[in-house]
Amino acid sequence: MSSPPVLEPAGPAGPCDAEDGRRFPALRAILAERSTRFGLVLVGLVVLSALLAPVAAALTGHGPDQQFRAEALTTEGLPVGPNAEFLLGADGNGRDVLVRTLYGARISLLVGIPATTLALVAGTAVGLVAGFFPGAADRVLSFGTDIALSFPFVVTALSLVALNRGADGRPVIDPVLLVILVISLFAWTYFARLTRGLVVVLRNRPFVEAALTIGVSRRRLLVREILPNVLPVVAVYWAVQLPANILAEATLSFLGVGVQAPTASWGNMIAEAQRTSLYQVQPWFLLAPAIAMFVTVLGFNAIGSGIRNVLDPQR
Amino acid sequence: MARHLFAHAARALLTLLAVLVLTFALTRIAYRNPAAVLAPRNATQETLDGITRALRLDEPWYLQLWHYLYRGPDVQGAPMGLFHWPPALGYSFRRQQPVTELILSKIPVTLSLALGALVIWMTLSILLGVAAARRPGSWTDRVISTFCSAGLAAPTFVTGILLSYFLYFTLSTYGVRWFPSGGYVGLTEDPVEWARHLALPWLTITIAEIGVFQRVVRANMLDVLGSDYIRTARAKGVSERRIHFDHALRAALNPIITLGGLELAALMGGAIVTEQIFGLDGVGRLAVESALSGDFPVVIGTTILAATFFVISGFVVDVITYLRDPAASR
Amino acid sequence: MALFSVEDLSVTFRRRGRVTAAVRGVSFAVEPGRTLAIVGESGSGKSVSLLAATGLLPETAEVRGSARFREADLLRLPRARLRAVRGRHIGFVFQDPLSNLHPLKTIGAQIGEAITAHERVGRAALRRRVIDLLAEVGIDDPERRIDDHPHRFSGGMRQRAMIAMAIALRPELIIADEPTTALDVTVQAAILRLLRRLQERYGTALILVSHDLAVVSEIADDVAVMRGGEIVETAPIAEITTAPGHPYTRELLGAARRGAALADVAEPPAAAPREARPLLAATGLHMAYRRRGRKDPVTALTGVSLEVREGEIVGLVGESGSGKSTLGRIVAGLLRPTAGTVALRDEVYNAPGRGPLRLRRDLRTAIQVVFQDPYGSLNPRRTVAATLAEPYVVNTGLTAAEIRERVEALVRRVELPPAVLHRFPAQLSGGQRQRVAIARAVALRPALVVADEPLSALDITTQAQIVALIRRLRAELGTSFLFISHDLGVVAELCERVVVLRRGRVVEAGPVRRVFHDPQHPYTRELLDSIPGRVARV
Repeated sequence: MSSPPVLEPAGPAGPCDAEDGRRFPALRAILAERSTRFGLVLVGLVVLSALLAPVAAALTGHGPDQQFRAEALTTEGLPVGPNAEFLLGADGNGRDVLVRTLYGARISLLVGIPATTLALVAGTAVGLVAGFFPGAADRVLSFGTDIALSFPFVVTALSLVALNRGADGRPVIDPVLLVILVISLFAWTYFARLTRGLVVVLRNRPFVEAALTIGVSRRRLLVREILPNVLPVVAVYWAVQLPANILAEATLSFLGVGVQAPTASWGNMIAEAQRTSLYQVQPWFLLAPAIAMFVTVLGFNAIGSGIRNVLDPQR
Repeated sequence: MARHLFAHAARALLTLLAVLVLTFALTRIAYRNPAAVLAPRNATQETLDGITRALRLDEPWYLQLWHYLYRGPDVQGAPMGLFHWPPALGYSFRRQQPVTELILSKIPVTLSLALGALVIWMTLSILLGVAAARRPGSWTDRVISTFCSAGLAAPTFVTGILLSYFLYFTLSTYGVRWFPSGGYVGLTEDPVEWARHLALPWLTITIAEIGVFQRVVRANMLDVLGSDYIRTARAKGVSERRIHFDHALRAALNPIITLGGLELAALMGGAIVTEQIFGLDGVGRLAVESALSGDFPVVIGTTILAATFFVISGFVVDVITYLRDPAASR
Repeated sequence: MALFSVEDLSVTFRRRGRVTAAVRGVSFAVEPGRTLAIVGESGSGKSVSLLAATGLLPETAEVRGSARFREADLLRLPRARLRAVRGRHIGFVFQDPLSNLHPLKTIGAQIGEAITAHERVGRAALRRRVIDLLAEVGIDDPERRIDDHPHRFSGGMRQRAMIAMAIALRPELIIADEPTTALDVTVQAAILRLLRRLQERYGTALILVSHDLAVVSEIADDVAVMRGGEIVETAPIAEITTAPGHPYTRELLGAARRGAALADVAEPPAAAPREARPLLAATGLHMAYRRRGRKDPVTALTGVSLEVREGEIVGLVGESGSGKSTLGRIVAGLLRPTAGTVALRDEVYNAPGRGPLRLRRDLRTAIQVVFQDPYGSLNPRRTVAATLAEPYVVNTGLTAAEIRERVEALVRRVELPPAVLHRFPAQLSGGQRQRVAIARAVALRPALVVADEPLSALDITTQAQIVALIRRLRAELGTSFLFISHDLGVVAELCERVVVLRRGRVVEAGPVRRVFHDPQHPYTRELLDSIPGRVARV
């Protein structure tokens, strides 16, 4: 899992920073950005696909895990290309590629969103404590963050998931849940570093000192003064991390862990296509999930880009 | 001044130690019958007992850790324990080889892949980033940025497969065999073949990394170009080209070096997917296969290798940053 | 014939659909060898107009009008020709030498570049020329310092290096944009003298931009006053200082005079009956702390004692590095000294020890602080009402309705309209923000308010208003103020007593009139003499 770019702490982009007093000008500006709109359209498409997947299954009569060997495979056993029955063709086992791609969207979102959110909560908490209580707490937590960062993502994730085998060989924890946990286990570090950096800067701002002179307790300081300044930046970072986590899930299922066949995940669909080389015969077997993946990540990246343009303008 | 580098080095070593202990603990906790997992398939009970004895698996965990960290009894004639040179990382019964030897044999591949790709993507990112920063908001800028961020959106395995499909498969149907489908040829054996075989993997990695780096270069350049000292240079009458490449780039480079170090370390830990797709027998491939098959001495070995690269790269970056600008690290 | 003349210059900025006219139809000119000063407060457009005239603004700025340098209109020149003019015929000196010098290049390289950008010179000859330039601007040991990076120079020396860059090719015109604002008062005078000397030696024309008419009165021949993007008045210096035409000029002059004419310090108002014991007593304060990566600790304060009486405004003056802010923080209870004590009404509340200071509520609320940066001292994500309610919420058991009442009264007391309550700091002006900060400080009727440079970030007209506010609050509430500032003029106007700090030691203390009229210590004398305009031709 490659390290993401560092997001600079946003300037005073508060809820009401416009001189004319209109509420949430930052939000308006973000929504006005072309990248954000473009991204929202793409993400909207993906979310729609995820929601409508069962509808597609019902309409075509093909479930995502159902094999239609008779209709979908030729006499040599090769999958058919796009036709009236199978709009994007079939995969090596005679399953409907279109339906599986739509269901794959569910997995990506169902893994990506909780994983990123969990990472956000855990990482922000750690970062807040580390930044606010300098000394032993900071050193210990920063050390812990360093250690977690040193572990290579894929190999460790693979090991952890491979360990998920009970005495009878069946998984102990639901693989999807495990993937979510494993991804969060790595992603929290980025939030922790970001938050800690922010808190350290904020701690030295005059308004924090002013609060201290009034007699505000440390707990109140953390919650009332610092947290409201940290959350918007962290929320933006959530949007930046999410596509990275979706990619991480796809990589894991590509390598054969996490979401296993027959459940449709874009990663394992691509893996199957590559492993059997059947994409040379039926390219949509590969292209459908690849394009879906591309669109999803591009969409979220575009949103993140739009947000970054407003909060950290270089133009 | 050098004190803080010293402190960094100490912290780095401690981190490595912690990673070691953690990885070790993880594997020992998880496997109820480690010998069975490590042994070749269909091993007899005798073999299993032999393995248990050889790896001291019946000893208490702290002794096992001690053997691992410091010095342990030889296994199948191979040394055991980190206090050797090179550090002995254990023994893989599956492959019947000492782990250190195993890893060292795979490193040249991964090194060629990672370093070569680094050079290519850094050069391209810097050139494209500076070009984009010279005219922000212009057509050139938009095209470059769109292209680069598109590369970011595709996961490496997709890019790799697509490149393989178009530049190998499709081309070969027309009889053009520029790029092979995979495999590795050593640099010392045949430099041209070495480069030719690595071309597609390098391209795969470059496409993925450019997305991030070009954007960072561009953002840092724009940031620096807005600085007062750039205005001073303009006021002196310095040419625009010199301003971009000498004044601005020099100042903008630090975060890029840091990020480059991190990415290189990550790749050295195994450009796993790329190695898989192009059949490169590198550290990544080794790590994945071992993780999936439960060959945990190798897993521990590769994890430590990756962690070491990560920690070293962090330290080297710190040194470089310090050398470039002593004032900043005060 | 004017060397450099700007006619009807307008500059507009476009940012995300917002159009701001920074400069509107401005015209001025300077003759060869003469000095033109452009004076105005921040935001008046004085720097912007010069940057625009010489093509140094970013491309997002729209510039209209003409800027002629020796017949050629700089705004219409092709890029290459314009570059040839900048540096060779027009030299620049900017405000903050630290941010205006490349941090990663040596001083020698940067000055050398000023030369090589226009001429071809061999390495040895170039080095010789740079060393000569460094010597000319008064930098000692130039052979060694030529290879140093900017961060190893002091502020004044960096500015001298910038001047060396500007005069390297003996330009006919030097544009100096607030060249002394970022420097200490004593250094300011030296830099101005250097500029004057160079000007006389080489017959260079000089355009000097400043917010302080007093600074300018030392060396200017003509003055153009700018406000809100327009020129308000242009006249020779003698006329401006004796018979200013425009009311705004008169205001600026008044502020400048404040520094120069300390003789007219008003008699303090009839003092309240003096109490025997002082309100606040700091005794033998010593502050030393370690800096990261350095072996020797830095001593910020040595043996400092001071007193503040009830209802008194005491000024604490000193240059940067004098320790005045550190002293303020110790008095405010934000920092523990390494030795010495601070007592309020004979009760010691701050002494050396470990961990942050924990004061009893009544002590904590008796001492409050107003900070220098009015924007930074208010939480950007809370409304004014929430910020002002905080002292009550934390320290009293009042109900929400009662607090709301108090807050409304508070806002009236600092002369702010009630509409302000629902706004966020970003929507207020600097002066308004500072009023809010002051309101927060006096909410619980403290005995003492430590005001750390409360006026530095404000412009002149606002400064006067805040000074009046502080005086009024003292009269109404009986609050004492410890007024920390580097601006002697304001201190003279507002404070009854003054304490002068230098490098962590008290060098002089006493009633303002006495200290400023008849300074005992040589440093105080130096400070007073450095006030620009003091020895002016006014």
